[in-house]
Amino acid sequence: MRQILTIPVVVAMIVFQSCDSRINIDEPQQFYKYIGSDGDQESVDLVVDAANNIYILGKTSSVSNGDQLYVVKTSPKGEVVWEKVFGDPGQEIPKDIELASNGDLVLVAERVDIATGEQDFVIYRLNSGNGSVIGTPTTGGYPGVVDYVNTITESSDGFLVCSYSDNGPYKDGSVFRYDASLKMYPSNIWPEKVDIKDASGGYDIIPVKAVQVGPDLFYTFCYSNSKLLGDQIADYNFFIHVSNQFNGGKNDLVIPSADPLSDERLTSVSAIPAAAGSGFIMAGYTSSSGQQELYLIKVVQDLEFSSSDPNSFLQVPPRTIQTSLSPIAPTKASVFPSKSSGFLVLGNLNSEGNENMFLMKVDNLLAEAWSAPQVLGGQGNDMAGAVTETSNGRILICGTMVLGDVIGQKKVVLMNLSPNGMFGD
Amino acid sequence: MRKTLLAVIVWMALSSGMPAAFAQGDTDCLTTLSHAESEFAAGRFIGIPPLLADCLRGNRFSNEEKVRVYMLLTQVYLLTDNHPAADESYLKLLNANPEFVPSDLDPIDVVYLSKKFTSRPIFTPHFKAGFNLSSQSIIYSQNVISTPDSTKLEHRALPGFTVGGGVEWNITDNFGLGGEVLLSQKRFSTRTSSMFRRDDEETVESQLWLDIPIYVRYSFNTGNIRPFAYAGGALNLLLTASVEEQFNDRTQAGLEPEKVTPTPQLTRNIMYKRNFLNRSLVFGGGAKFKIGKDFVVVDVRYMPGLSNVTNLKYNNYASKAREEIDPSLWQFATMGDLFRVNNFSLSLGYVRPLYNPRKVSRVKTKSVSRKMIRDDKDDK
Repeated sequence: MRQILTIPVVVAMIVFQSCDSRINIDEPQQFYKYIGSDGDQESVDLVVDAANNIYILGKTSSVSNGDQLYVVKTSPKGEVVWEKVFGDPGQEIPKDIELASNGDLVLVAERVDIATGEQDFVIYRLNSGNGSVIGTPTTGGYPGVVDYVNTITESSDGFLVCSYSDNGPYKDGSVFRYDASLKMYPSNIWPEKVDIKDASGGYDIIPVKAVQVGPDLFYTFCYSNSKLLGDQIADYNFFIHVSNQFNGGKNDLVIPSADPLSDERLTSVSAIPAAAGSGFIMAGYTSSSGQQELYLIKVVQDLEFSSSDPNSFLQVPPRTIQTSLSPIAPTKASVFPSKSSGFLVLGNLNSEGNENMFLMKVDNLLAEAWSAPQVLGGQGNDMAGAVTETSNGRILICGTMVLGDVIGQKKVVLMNLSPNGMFGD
Repeated sequence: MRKTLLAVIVWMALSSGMPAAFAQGDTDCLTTLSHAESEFAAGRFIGIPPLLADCLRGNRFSNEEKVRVYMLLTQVYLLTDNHPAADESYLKLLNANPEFVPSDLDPIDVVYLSKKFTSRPIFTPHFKAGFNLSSQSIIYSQNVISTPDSTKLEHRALPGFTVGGGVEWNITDNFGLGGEVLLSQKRFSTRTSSMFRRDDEETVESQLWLDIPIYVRYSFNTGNIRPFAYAGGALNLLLTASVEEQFNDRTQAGLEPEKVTPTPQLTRNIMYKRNFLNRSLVFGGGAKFKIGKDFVVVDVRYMPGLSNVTNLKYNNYASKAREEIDPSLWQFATMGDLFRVNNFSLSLGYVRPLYNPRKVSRVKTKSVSRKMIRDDKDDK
């Protein structure tokens, strides 16, 4: 009798053991999610909180309302927790979202006033739990001119907003400073202009990111075509504006390129954690003769004491990486320090006539760490948003994919990739 | 397809046992047989074998008549103590009717003799064809949906076909071990609706499998309708896998009618993201319908898959090179789950037992003795 019972039990155990199920297969951590609704939705930036919840900033477009801001919170698995649409029936261009130290979200966007047609920028503060707006959105910029904005960064007592405005044929750069309640510092306390005097005439100053590194010390990472910055030819170069708030001291550190005829435009800056050697990594593009390549710079933490000699503040020589980047698209590179080592870079490349996202990793010497960039895209023009890492070292990227055929609908895409940038192991 | 299948089965049936079973023998020989039976009844045994010899040499008896002839000769040889000849006659009887079993009315010495023989086929080949329904058991859902609460996801079983054959090793009269090789087309679909509020997508996957089931079978071995049941496991080789995808972008502005923009349908080979070697369980049953010496079989089978058929490493890519992401993602907003494939099939088949009448090495007569004692008690 015992034998008769033993046989089915043994068979059942073998079957149970050999059946692929949730017991013996780990849940895949990778995901690829589309986020959106009717019309087109695009994304430009994302942040991740300590619990690996993801916040995405983008825009949604419809015939009736034009472009409006689109903010989404997803779970760590990429499933929407809440999604919000902000803005007037007009043009809103999302730029940057940050997670403040108190857990609130702050975001900055350009906005065209539907009554006056004037373009300013607007700052929203959101409750990260439910996406509701805290207080009233703050409008910034100069009256009567077109204002652009790049980023918002948390400072010791509020926020720093990198902006630039049209000044005839040139663009003036500014870093506006706000307190925690989004009240702007007056100019006599915080001179917002990134002020370098170029006797030779007009020039552009485009501030990309401002950070507070000490009680009275601020770095503004910019690019400009000013000759006063040390370059004899009016081409664009990266530079770092080091300033003190109270004593008025300042220093401009220019990063000249190897090719004096090439233009270098900055798009992204990230602080390098102390564990990875501290400092800052700057990512952008260098372009000359119709070619456009990825351009990476790594600078030291203590820029205040650096001389104007680049060797005193560059950690490694500037790195140009051949990626066949598109010369036509308003490409952007998002850079993020990897917890393991090196840096993740997300950008766009032009492959076979259409735009695709690429993801690559560079090591601490800014040399390519992977054998080739991961190309992420389809037949349409797919645009990079931002890259970051989760607390367990997986890579998160957001962007915009064209779904369906070449001129199909645009949707926000959120991808969770392995530390080597792949779906699957 | 169905008509062709039926025609083949009917032809096989007609061309095998049925003509022999129902054919009429030579009238003269039938008269000779009747005469021989009369001689036997009269106790004149010696002249019976020569009497029947001519007709047997000329093979002029029908199959049914041969059974009568060899039964008669067996009894004659037993009564005349010519046991080797009795064995030979009984063996020929079994060749004429492999399923012959002496009845209660037959002499007890014939019943005893019958226990020295068996005609149980060692192997029984069969072939079959039919239809199946395949479904997915989702292990982990892998999709592009970020709003699972408002998006509807449906998995549907779709019909396919099964064709193949196999052989059973008959261990006892009732138990056997079977193995088959079946070519199966298995199809199923996944439909996503209310995606991005209005859009929908459907993926139909068609797979071609070589299923190799091995099972233990129990069947009834008498009667014209013989039910059977079996259970076992199968090795499932996935030969090809392709998907046909359709995405509909639905938009509606104001009171205007809904506008549907379909993405052109595309059939793609996705074998690179499937596992070739898989396993499943096999459960089934049915009935065999006797036609002459052969059978037509109706078989109902369920094969629950044990293996995850999706190779996650390649699931999001356009090829094994993993250089481009899968067009399913950016063209049709779909991906493909981690899943097992289950298969339910109904097939019609033809069974031809390879009868092998032979002497058994160990004679079992206990059942006969028991029956005699029982009968004696009943008589008293």
